[in-house]
Amino acid sequence: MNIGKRLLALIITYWITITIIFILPRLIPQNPAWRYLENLYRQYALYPETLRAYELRLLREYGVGMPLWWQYMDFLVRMFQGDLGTSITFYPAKVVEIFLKALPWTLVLLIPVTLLSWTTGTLVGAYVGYKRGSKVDKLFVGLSYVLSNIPSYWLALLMIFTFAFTLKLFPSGGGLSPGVIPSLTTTFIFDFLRHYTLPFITLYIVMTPGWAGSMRALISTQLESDYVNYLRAMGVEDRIIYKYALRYAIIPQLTSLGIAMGGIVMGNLFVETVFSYPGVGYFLAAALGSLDYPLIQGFFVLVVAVVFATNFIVDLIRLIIDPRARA
Amino acid sequence: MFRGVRLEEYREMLLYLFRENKRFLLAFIVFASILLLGLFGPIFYTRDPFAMAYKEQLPPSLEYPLGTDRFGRDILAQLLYGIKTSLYIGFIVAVISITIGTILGAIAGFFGGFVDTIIDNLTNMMLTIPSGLILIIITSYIPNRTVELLAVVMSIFLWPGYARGVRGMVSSIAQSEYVMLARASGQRSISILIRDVLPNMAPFIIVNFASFIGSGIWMETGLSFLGLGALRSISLGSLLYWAGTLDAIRRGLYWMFIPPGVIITATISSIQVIAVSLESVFNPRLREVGVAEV
Repeated sequence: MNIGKRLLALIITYWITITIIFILPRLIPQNPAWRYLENLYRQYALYPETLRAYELRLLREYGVGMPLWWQYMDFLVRMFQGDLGTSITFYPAKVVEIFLKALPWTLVLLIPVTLLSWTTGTLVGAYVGYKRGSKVDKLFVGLSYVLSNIPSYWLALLMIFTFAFTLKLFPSGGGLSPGVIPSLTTTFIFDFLRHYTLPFITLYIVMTPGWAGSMRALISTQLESDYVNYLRAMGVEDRIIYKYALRYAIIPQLTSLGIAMGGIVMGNLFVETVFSYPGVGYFLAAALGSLDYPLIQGFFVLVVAVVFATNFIVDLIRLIIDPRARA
Repeated sequence: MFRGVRLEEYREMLLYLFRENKRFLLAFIVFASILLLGLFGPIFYTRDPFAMAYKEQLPPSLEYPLGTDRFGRDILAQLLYGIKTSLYIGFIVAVISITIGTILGAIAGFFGGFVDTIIDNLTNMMLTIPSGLILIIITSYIPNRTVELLAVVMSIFLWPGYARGVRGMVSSIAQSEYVMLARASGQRSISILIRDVLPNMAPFIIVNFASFIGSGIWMETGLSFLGLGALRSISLGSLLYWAGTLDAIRRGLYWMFIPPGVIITATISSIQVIAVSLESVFNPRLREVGVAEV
């Protein structure tokens, strides 16, 4: 596979996707800007001066009423200057500022939970894959059909109901209690962990079965392949065969981990929303609800760039470590 | 590998599944029950799911099997209606995705060349983009969301993986002897494609149809939970959305959010088990490998 070609394809895809996300809301009849204006007129009908100020702001900052091509060029030029516009809901905060404020929350939650669920999932999957067909394996498969199909947001609701509402062990949501300031004090750390626990456990439960399932499939495929049968026929010890199979199976599993790490910047829309955990997904969901489309568009531009960049890097690494991928 | 379609063989495979695979049998019973609830529930349980006609926040009782919500709406009526909507959406999504995927994949695989390159690039692109995120954003932009419109939008993001599978199968069938023979006997390409190639892919299409129903329900539930579902409609996801916005948890109204979640999980897992089991009998290679458990 040609690296340059792959990079070009990614850049073109990126350009097409952000263009679609930019143009679409402006093509739809009663587009979000107009719906937003309607709301504004209703809210501020009694305050003509405020309304006028809002109108001017919309005209200047959001380019409302300008021709589409002008808005598009403006968007692209500003994007390259690192300016993704101003949020409507959180005015006058810049979209980039909001993103940078939300990102640490998301990373602190999703990086550990992804790594931990990957590790346990891979270990469990490698084990049941080795024991495939046994009682443990059958139990695992049956259980994972159910576990992997529990909607994360429903599990989050159940968690809040059980541990926050009924048992009162944890707060029902938020990142920190009001008044607690991020610092290296025990109060802060304790308060942070209290808010952190439920979202973490929820995500861990939802994510682990998937990793285990994929590892189980990968290792089973290896253990049934021709080279393993050949080794068996030669009388090679089972333990050694398993080691070889593991080495082959782990490569795609690591690739998926790499891709998942890129997707982390999206945050988790569902779990962050249910727990009002102030990460990227929480702000994105808020923006979707209020049709804050500079924010939606801006987050999208940033998130997809990171996702694509990670995919590309993962591809590169795979090319380097796995000679078969070069074919 | 490919032969003419033998119906008896498939019937035997299905009988084998019912007899030998307890997990499949269980999943089949669960899904059939949910299907019956959705199809006939609203006919027999005639309370209006939208009517705010009863006492508010009643816990489950004989008169109100699943209680009522803050506005005095009957939850069982809502749940039955929601099952119906969700199944309906899943079904439309499956029909549209299978249609798009089969047509594009078959054209690419059968004719190859320039058309193939275009379709392949399109498929590649669709598989590269973070489709979940784009789907959510696009849905939020649509002003008057209907159930059908949502199904169409979801299908746009579901066909690519399947189309790739169709392409691979069609191109290998197209090189098989009997298609060569059909070509040599002067049949037209379209008629070979429809009469000789596609029927051989029936098992593959059926399996994917089943999993598309699952994906459709799953995606719609997620969108509805975010408040991006069809307007003026009740689905399993919008029941959970209401449970969230009507503050069911802090009021302790567990009957509002437990039943929809149970039904969603049961529906999706049973569909998945059915799809995987079907795939394992249709595709013996998977059974040997143990990827698909029988």
